Amino acid sequence: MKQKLIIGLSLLFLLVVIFLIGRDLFTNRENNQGNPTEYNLEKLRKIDSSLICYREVRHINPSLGVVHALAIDSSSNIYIAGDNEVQVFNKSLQKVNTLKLDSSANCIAISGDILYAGIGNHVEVYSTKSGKQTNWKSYNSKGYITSIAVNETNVYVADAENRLVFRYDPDGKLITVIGKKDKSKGIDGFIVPSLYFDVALSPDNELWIVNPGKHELINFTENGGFRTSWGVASMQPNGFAGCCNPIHFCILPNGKFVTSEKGLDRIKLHDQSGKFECIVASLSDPNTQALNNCSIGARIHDLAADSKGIIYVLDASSKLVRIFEKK
Amino acid sequence: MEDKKKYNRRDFINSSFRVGIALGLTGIGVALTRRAIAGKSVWQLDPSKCVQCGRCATSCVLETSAVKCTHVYDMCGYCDLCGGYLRPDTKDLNTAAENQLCPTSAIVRKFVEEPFFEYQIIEELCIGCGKCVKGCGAFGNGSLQLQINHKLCVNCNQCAIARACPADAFSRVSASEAYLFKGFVKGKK
Ligand code: SF4
Ligand code: SF4
Ligand code: SF4
Repeated sequence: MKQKLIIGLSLLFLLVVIFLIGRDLFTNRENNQGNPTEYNLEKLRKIDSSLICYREVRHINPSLGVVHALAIDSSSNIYIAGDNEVQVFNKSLQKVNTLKLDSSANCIAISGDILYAGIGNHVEVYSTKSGKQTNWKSYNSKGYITSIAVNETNVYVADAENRLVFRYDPDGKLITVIGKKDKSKGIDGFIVPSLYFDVALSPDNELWIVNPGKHELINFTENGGFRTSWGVASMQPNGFAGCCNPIHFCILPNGKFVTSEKGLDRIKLHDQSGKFECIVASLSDPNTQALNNCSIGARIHDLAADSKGIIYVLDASSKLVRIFEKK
Repeated sequence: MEDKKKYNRRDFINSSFRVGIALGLTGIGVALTRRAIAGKSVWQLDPSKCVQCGRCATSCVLETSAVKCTHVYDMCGYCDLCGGYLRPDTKDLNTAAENQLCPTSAIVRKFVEEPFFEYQIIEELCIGCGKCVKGCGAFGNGSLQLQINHKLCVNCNQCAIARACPADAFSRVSASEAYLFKGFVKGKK
């Protein structure tokens, strides 16, 4: 009897040991533990919905494998750059043209029927009717063109590697170099920690350039003289978050600014003096849109506005142009 | 007619013994070969798959994880407002402990020239939690990356973190190319 009890208890003990070993081998309790050092970005990405003053009304799906840049001409035609091509949509969002490029453009700008494409360290010029016209000479081999702004007399080209903006005439003659560091004149130069460096012209042809490392937009004369600036660093909607923001901006016909940031993927509206007005959209707010799929770099690849103040956002994650109108 | 040789018990024991030795030697050979092959490979995590879940800090068999933050300087913007160093919404951009994101103060900020700062990781203090990696990836260039430090890793047969990793970021890599950095620099620490 005693022997049977001992055998029974031994068997029970053995079963318990086998169960414990099995549990340890085949289950993973670590997976159920929380992260004690969690950095919760979702909290920061959450936007107070009462601050959102635009709504997404339509989108364009250009069926491009990758989207690089966006531009809108004076007739509200929409130009979307993908690998080695630019697709053109009219204001009814019908595809009307495809321009073949020699390489992939990182940024584009359009003036009349001339398309300027920033490709690596130089600008290439294309006619929307007859294709490639010419290559402009690069400033130096290390350049990386990230933005182009154009009016009838000037083409402004932002180079993130050289941290300079070049003013060319429409024939590609370099006229002015803006932002050269000069300690004797107290010019610190642009701080461009990553390859985001944007330039735009207001409806009155005022030149605005982002100084992303300083979280500010600066207004220059066409010869590169400093006029004014605005912008502060902050995670709050009234400022620009992270190390270098905003990454893109455009100026509405009424002179208000639209900016986009990486990290929090916010698009915001600021008045003519730079004061925060409201949120256009927050692409990575878990409450409003799908989560950001880009682990590094920005989800928003470009911004543009048409003559009616409608805002176009190039969303690199979904490869769509999202169109926003005032609520 | 030839007499059939009798296969007695002694013969059976002898041949079993020989077969046993042969199998044993083969086994040892296979084990040594496997060990030699395993010796040429080490565990490493792919930073492009990592989602900074925190398990690198808590699942390693070592008391303090063999996974450390490494800084790929070629990718760094040397920013003043570093998303990997500073907590969000820090009021003053200085080194006060309450402004630092790292739970163990394992990142040292050094002034280079206005307005640039260099960020160095003190390996002994880093627990591999990935908090700074997440901040740098979201707001900066992603130059802070988690990697298994092979001076510390004991190269377990089955890496305990690999079993816990939700992103399937771990694999065995050649010991001669033991680091996997994402971005523009490969294999450079
Ligand atoms: S366990 Fe995997 S996902 Fe989590 S921090 Fe480590 S490598 Fe990244
Ligand atoms: S935040 Fe975590 S991973 Fe980064 S240095 Fe500090 S301990 Fe290491
Ligand atoms: S192999 Fe072992 S020591 Fe190395 S990181 Fe994995 S669990 Fe830690």
